[in-house]
Amino acid sequence: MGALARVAMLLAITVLVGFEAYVVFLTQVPNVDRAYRNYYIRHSTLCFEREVTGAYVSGVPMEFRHGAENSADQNAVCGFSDPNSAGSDILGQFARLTFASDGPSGGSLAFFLTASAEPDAGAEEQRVEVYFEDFPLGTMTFVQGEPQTEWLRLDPLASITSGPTLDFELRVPDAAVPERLGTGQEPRPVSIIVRSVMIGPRQ
Amino acid sequence: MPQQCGRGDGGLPVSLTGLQSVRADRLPAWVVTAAIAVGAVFLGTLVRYVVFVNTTGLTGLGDLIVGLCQFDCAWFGSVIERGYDEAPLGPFTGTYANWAFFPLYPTIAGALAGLFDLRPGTAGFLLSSLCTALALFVSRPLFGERGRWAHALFCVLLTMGPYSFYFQTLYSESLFVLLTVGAFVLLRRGNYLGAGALGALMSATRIVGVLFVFAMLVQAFIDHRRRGGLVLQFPASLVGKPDILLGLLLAPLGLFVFMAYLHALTGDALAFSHIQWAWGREIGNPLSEFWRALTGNGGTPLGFIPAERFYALCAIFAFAMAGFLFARGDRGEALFVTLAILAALSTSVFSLPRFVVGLAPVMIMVSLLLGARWWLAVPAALLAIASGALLSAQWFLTNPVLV
Repeated sequence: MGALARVAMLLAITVLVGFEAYVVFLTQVPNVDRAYRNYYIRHSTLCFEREVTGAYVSGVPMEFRHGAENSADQNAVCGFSDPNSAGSDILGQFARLTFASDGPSGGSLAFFLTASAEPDAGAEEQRVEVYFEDFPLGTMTFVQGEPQTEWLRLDPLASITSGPTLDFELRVPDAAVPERLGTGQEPRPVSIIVRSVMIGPRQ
Repeated sequence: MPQQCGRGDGGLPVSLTGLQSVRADRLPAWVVTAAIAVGAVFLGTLVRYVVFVNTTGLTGLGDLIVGLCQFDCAWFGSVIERGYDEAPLGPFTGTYANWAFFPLYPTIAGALAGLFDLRPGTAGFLLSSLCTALALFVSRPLFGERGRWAHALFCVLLTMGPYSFYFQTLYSESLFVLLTVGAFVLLRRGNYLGAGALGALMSATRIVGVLFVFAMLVQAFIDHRRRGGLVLQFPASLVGKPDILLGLLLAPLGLFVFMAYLHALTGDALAFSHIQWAWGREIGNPLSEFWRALTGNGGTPLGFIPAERFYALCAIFAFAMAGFLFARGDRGEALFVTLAILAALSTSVFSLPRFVVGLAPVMIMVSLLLGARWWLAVPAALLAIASGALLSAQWFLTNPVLV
């Protein structure tokens, strides 16, 4: 090996060491927002909030099944899994939904949820605590098997709606991790499979 | 040189090897190898086409290309069509991005698509077929002078064997196998710079490519010992050999460049790893994941066996091949395979079959074992073709268990 080639190699080695050390340093200083950091890096939340329009048609079930019409895609803010033919799982301890609103609405409206308990969660029954604008609306219970529809009255709390959206949070206290239960590979808590949601006249 | 009495190459009856060598003598060896490589890819395409027609009833070559493009093919296509995502996206979840798909393969496929005005799937079909043929050609020295039958079996496995559809669609397996065999050929010849340069391309193709640096380190250590060096002198000996040092630093460069790019794009140099969380995967203990899959009943049943247990058995198979490689003296290859399987297991057993067939040393070792005797190689090849056809049919039917 000639002296010139040797010098060139040593120079290349120096540059590569510097560059690779710099990239290793970059891994320690991610320049990301808090939502990204909490969801992807720390795994401290399973709610990675999306920008959605909240568009919905009152009285029409908004679907969580893959490829279905009237998709709830623009209502699901966070906490849902990829939809499949059965619907979308709630991943984690809660999920959020939003619906565009024209302001306070009277009448006898209700929040409808069609879902079933996720078999991989282990329990036959799953509770869903529904919160509307941070106020507890009530608790629903779903069992495994065919999807069931439960509803809760909205009108007592309709007057508190002040913003442009109706925001709901579905909390699932019985969620369990299939990986720990040995029922599946999912390392995140699962609870119910959501098929559709609807805001409409009380039945 | 006169033919030895009794058995010829790989235990083939002398009369048959005699015929073969007469024909082979007329052509340079590389021409014969190239013909076998191209012929195998052509035959593989033909077999897959027949399976496709029988499975779907469709007859167009374009239909076959679309039928081959399943699952992650769309993610590679997204890199070609829109580049890397600046932020996570996706319906309902909004947590997905194409950062887990390393850049070299989609970059070449994208260039091919742009140059000839092709769809990403078509570019992937052509690129993967070309890479597979080149891999079969380049890999010939790894089988040795007497490894003709083993190499022929390797050709069958990659073009018609189980999971061979990965080597003919918009997936990076074919390019990775090509780079892997090329890198190991150069490493065996003591060309550390060349091996390091190919290692850089490997680490720009798949994350496990970065593990080639350990194979290089093992080979450098073996070479050091062969020269009579002491164990403790090894680190100091590297300082005196800038070509080895440079090769070792080159090998992970593809990964480091991708990480620097991701940092510039998303602010997270490890975005390719962090995005796995969107699919519920995180880095954990590979052995506990392996044991969980082996002893549990997770996944859709594959006949009489749960899918996850089948995936765990694939890992055992790969570890066994690593053991054979080690015993054979191919220490670098053995370490590379072991680390690659452990890396895959550290997130999930999912996709293990794909990872295993995409590890060239595993497939080479299988071929060397089964191709040692013609009476083993022929039934093995027929079995591989039959199971490859069955699995291809399931692939065309979009069976997710195969991913």
